[in-house]
Amino acid sequence: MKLVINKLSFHYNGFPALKDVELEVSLGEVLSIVGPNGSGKTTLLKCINRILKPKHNTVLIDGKDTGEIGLRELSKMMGYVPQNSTSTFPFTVFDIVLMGRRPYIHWSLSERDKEIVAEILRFLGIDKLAMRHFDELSGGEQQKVIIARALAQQPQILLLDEPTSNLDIKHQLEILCILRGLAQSKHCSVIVAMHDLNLASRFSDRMLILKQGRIFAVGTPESVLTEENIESVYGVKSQVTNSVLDRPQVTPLGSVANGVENSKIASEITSKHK
Amino acid sequence: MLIIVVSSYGVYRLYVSSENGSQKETVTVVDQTGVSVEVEVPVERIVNIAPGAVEIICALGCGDKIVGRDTYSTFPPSMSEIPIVGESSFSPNLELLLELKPDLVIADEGLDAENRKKIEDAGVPVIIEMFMEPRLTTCIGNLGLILNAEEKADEFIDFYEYYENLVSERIKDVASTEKPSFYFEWYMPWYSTRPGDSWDELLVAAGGTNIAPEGPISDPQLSPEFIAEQNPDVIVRMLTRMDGEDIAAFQALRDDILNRPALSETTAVKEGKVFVIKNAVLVLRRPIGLLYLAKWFHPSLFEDIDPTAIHEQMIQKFFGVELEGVYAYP
Amino acid sequence: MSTASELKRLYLKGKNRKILAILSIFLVLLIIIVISVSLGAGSPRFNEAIQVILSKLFPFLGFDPGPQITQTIIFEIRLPRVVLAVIAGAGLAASGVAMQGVLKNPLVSPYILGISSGAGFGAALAIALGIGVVTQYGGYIVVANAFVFSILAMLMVYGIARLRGVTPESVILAGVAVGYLFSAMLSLIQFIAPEHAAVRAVVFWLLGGLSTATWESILIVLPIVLVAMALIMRHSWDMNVMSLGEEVAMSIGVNSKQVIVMCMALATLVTASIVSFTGVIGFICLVSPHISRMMIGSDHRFLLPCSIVLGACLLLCADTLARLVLMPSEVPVGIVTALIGVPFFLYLLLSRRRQFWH
Repeated sequence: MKLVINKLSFHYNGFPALKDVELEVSLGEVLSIVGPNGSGKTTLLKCINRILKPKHNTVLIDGKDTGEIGLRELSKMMGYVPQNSTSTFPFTVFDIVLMGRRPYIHWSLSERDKEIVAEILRFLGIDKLAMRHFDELSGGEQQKVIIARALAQQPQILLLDEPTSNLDIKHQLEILCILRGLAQSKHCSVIVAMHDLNLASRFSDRMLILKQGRIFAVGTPESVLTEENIESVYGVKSQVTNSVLDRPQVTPLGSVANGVENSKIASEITSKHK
Repeated sequence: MLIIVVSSYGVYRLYVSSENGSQKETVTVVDQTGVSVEVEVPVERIVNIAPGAVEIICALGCGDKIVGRDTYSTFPPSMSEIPIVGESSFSPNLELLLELKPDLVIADEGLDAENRKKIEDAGVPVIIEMFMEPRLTTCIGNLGLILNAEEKADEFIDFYEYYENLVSERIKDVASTEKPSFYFEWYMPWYSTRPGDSWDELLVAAGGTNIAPEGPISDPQLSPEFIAEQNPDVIVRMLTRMDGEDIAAFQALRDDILNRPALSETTAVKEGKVFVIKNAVLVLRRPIGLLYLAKWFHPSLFEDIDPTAIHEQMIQKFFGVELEGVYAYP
Repeated sequence: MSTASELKRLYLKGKNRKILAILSIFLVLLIIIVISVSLGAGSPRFNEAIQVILSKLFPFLGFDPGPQITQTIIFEIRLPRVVLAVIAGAGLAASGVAMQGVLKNPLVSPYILGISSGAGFGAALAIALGIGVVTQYGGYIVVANAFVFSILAMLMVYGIARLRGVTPESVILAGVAVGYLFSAMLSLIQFIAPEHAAVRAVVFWLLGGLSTATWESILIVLPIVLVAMALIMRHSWDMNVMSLGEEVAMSIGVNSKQVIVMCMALATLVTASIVSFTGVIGFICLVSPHISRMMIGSDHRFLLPCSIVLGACLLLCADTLARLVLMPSEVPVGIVTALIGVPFFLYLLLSRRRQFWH
């Protein structure tokens, strides 16, 4: 399933959040979207799955405008994991994941629905939690449940908004590994908005940097994560090295706005430790 | 010597009478609340906020002295010219009331103690009366005293008592088992009256027995199945101005009761003994109501009585106008 | 690591427990129905009641229905009342669940859309203008007017909410505003209306009563309530999904706005048609969903049927008590629902158990 974005622009009450975004995502790819706060990452995700409504013919799946595809059909193609998850009423894990089957349910549950849910729970290693209540779980477990729910939609495109921001390093790695595995094995595409440049670098096939609603750079992590780019987009001086995992690693040194002083202190610190 | 005695006596008499002349006469009556009210007479300006009570005042011939009234005091028709100072004793507009500079305010128990005090503090006496039995004749007598209309008051009371006695005389020999049982309904479906309440008292005086039992709630809402089982001989439904005043309104209320499935098996409905009566003749014009009820309960004993004709007589005699409108049906 | 079939089994177990709970409450309802029909200010008791009912249901089997008065009492007075209590209780509970599910707030009731004030105002207006006489039948004009104004209230709420977008917050705020508006207008009527009787009529509406139940009124209310309840139940999944938030719901293919409007309309329809006949009966639409949620969880596929049956039980209980406690007088049923609902609710709240039925 090919996702094509053509000259996507979006305004919030006159404030331009996205401008002329062009993108193509193919099946089995992990694309991470990075950029400073307010650069439009969340907006872009929401435009893709039509929570926000962009202009005609700007978001196309296999050549079809998402605006023409019905809400239900679209939800069979794309799953969304938001930044914050709440549930007004208490539900069990199984129930929540089951909700992801809603696009396929017309009258009542089928055996297949239940099987799919059970499989997904096993796959994510949260089957033991199936009958527990969602609000009793830890942050990492909750995040897995939400991903499970999105997976229950059997989507070909998975959209996640900062799925690891509140997790410890163990859970961060776990989740990102799962996502990468999903892309590689299940042939769905994963589009992740992230803060952490290094995690993005490690787990993505391609990275997209957004600056003030525009695409600043897109491509492999090696091509995109350069010291010049980072200074340009974030206003931060950094050092980019090749990590042990053979991926670019960013070490921030000091913010440029404060002038030479910060980087002087920083380079003194680094020179001391050499 | 005789001249001195006579002239000094004459001077003394003159002195005494001039004292008397500068002193205003007062009449004291005990009103319904038990308070002794002193009223300076003669009374020239009356404000009445007891609902409908202007009727009594007019019947006593003092209609021209009324300067302010309540919303419900609309009879006789001349009252429409009089300004309204409040909906009822519950909510008088004290400013308007006192502006009219009344010599006397007549109210009913709806007037709360604070308001009463305010009016009295302004120098205006307040009489609180209940224009219903068992107080009605007493309060008419009191008013007659105050308004110097004792003759008219007596006439009025005589008229009342004549018909009360007529009814009680004719039914006194009726055995209690012969008295028809009644279900009385007012305002809302199934709302009735219990033994001892004012409506009940009137209907019993007319020679009926209430199907409702004694109980803790006044004006109780009765269970339909209880009523069905008690099987009343007669059903009386009260109509108020709010339900409508023309004959269609009476018919509508009657038809509703005739069509209620719960009452379909009662003697009253089967024999068509369902009557609708307007509240006006149940309170202030009590004898008329009494006559209608008595005739409905004991038609054979009151064949010669035509309550409508008597009502016409009453209105003509005490108010000098024609009787208009429907008050009872059928 | 459990197998898929083990998980399914666990899930099924939970589901079966819930179904069992609902069936138990249904059984309780049947028992209460039998008791209600057997008691009353009149003399017929269980035996006579059964005779009458059986003779009407199976006339060819030759059951002796007894004297006419017994038949009248059972069939024209008690039975319609019991049936209306069941329908009204079920309908009010269903609309309570619908409103809470769709506005994501366990404290709302359909009355929050100003329905009760609207109906009360419509009824009082008709009475005060002398258009409708307050009688059982002529009262149809009053009933119709009450209905019209409650629908009007809902439309106003919808219109106002749309100005800022139909979200739970905007609907609730608009509902409160409209409710107060009609309340104020109602007070105005009480103030202006020519007789104290208008005040009494309004009190009747605000306290609620089932004493005017007839088969005719049931014939009107029943289809509306049944159809609306069925349509509400069809949205069970959507209500589940919507509790995850508007955006997530959308990503799962649920158009929150549409569902809010649809359920609002259905809940209003049910409540308005009931309230027009019975006056405002409070608490059932609030307490029944709450108690059900505590017993059976928030999955609306089970919550709705459970609430419906429980609501019917509660209202029937309340009305039976209202009929019996001060025989032969009757107490307004709204008072009794408050007196039953509140302590039970407090008890469940304080006993700190999240769910009795897993």
